[in-house]
Amino acid sequence: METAVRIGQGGGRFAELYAAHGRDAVRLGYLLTGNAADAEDLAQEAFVRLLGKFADLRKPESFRTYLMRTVTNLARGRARRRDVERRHAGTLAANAGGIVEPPDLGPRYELAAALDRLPYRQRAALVLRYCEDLSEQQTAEVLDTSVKAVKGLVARGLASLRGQEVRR
Amino acid sequence: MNDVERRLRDLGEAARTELRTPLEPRRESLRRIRRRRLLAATSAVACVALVAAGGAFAWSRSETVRPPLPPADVRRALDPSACGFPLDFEPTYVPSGFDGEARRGPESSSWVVARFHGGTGSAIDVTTPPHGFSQSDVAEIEVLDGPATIGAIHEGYSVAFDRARCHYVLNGYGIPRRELRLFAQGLRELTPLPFAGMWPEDSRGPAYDACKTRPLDRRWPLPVARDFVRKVLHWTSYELDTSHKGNPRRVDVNGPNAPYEDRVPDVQLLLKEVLPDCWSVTRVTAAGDHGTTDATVSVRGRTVEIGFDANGAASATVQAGYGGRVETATWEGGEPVVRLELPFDPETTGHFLVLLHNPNGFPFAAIGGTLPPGDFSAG
Repeated sequence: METAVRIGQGGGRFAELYAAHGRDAVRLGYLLTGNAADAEDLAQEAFVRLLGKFADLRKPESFRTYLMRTVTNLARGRARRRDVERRHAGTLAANAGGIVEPPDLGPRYELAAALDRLPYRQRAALVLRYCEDLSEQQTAEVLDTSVKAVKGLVARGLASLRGQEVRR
Repeated sequence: MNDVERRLRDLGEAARTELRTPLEPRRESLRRIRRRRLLAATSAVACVALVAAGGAFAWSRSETVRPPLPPADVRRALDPSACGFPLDFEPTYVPSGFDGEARRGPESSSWVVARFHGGTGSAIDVTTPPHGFSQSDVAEIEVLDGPATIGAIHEGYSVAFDRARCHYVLNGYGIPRRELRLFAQGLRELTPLPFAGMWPEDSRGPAYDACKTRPLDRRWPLPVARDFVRKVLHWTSYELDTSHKGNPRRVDVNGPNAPYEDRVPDVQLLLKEVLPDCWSVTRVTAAGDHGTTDATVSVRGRTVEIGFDANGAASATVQAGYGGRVETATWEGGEPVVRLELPFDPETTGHFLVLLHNPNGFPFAAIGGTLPPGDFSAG
C-alpha cells in the first residue's frame, strides 16, 4: 500500500522517516567514512536536503534510494576534504585508513581499514553491494551510473582488497 | 562467494547490529526544514507578482537610455551565479561576539551564500532566496546606498535589499533587531569585484587586454566553448548542446567515444560574460557514465593541493595558475591528490584544471574552476 508522506504536516513526519531510515543512513555513512560521528552528521544532512526537496512522497521505497544516494555523495565530499586536510597537516592518520572508532566494529577493523584505503567509488560500490546487500541495478541507481560501471568498480575493488591481504 | 565477499557481508551485518545510532533527528535539522518550508510557502505569491509585473523588457547598453528595473525576482533569475560567494561587500560593524569574517554558506543550502558567526545560537546569514518571503513590522532603511527593508521573520529579523542584479536577504538569528540594522547599515562595497573567468584568462588584466577590441570569438559563449574543447581537451569531434540560456551559460559537450570501458565521455562547461562583450569559461565539470564529479582545492601560501575524482583515469594532468603563470604536475595513479608548489605568490585571481586521461593518453574528462587570490579552501 502506498502512503503519501506529507512533510507539511510538520516535524512529526520527519521524525517518522528518520526512525524508519535513519539507522540505515548512519550505517551507510559509517561504512563509507569509517567515522561514526561523521556518519551521524551525514545522515542528518541527507535528511534535511531530501525533506527540503520532496513535499510529497508517494513511493517510500524511492525515498530510501534517494537517501542512500545523498549519503553516498556527501560521504565522498567528506572523504576528499579529509584527504586534503590530512596532507596539509603533514601527518597520516594514527590508524591506517583514518578510521578513528574501530571498537564499534571490533575484530572487523582490519577489513574496514582496507576498505578505507580504496578509491572512493570502489569503496562505495563494495559497501553498497556487499555490506548493504544491494543488487547491481540498485547499486547503479544509488551511484547514478551504469550496471557495467558497477561491475568494473566491484571487480577492481575486490582485486585491491585481495591484493592488500596478500601483502599483509 | 569468496572469502573477501563473505567478510564484507559480515562487516555490513556487524554495522547493523553493533553500531550505536540515535533514533531521533536533531533539533537543528527540524529547524532547518521549517525554514525551507517557510521560504517555499511564499513562492505562489511571488509567482503572481512576477506575472503581474510583465514578462517583456529590454536591456540597453547605452548610457543615455535606462529601462525601468524589473522586479527583484526577475533580476535574480537573470544572473543567479553573480550573487554568490565571495561577497562583494563587507561589514564595518558586527554585533558583540561576531568575528566579522564571512564564511561560505553551508552546502546544504543553495541560497545561504555566506554566514557570519556569532556566539552559540547567533548568526547572520547572507541569502539570495529564489522567491519572495514575508516580513512583519517592516521599516525602511538604507543599505549600500540603496533602499532596504528591515522586518521580523519567523525566527529572527531580516533585511532585504537589491544590489546590482542580486536580491539579498540578511537573516539575523539570536540577535536584536537593532544589531541587525546596524550591521546592514554598516555594510560597504568591496572593490573591485572578483574576476570570474577560468579560461582563456584567469585574471582581469589579461582578459581586459584580450577583449578591449571586442573580438568576435569572445562576444558569445559558443565560440569560447568550442575553442576550449579544441585547444584544452584536444577533441576534434564533439557536439555542443547550447539549449540552456542565460548568463552564466551552461554548454554540455558530448565528446568522441573513448576506447576505455565503453564510456562516452562528456563535460559540462559554464561560461560567463566576465567583462562587457567578453565571455570566458568559468568552470568545467566531468559528467558521463560515472556521474558528475568535482575537485577539492586548498591553497596555503604558495602550496596548492588539488584532490579529484579519478573516475577510472590512468593518469591526469593537474594545473594551477594565477595571472597567466601556470604550474603543472602529472598524476599517474594512487591517491588522487596532487600538490603543486608555486614559484610565486598567488596575488591575483587564478584557476585550476584537471585533465583525466585514459591508458592511451586520451583526455576523456576535465574538472576546473576559478581561484581567488591568496589562501583558499573549498570542495
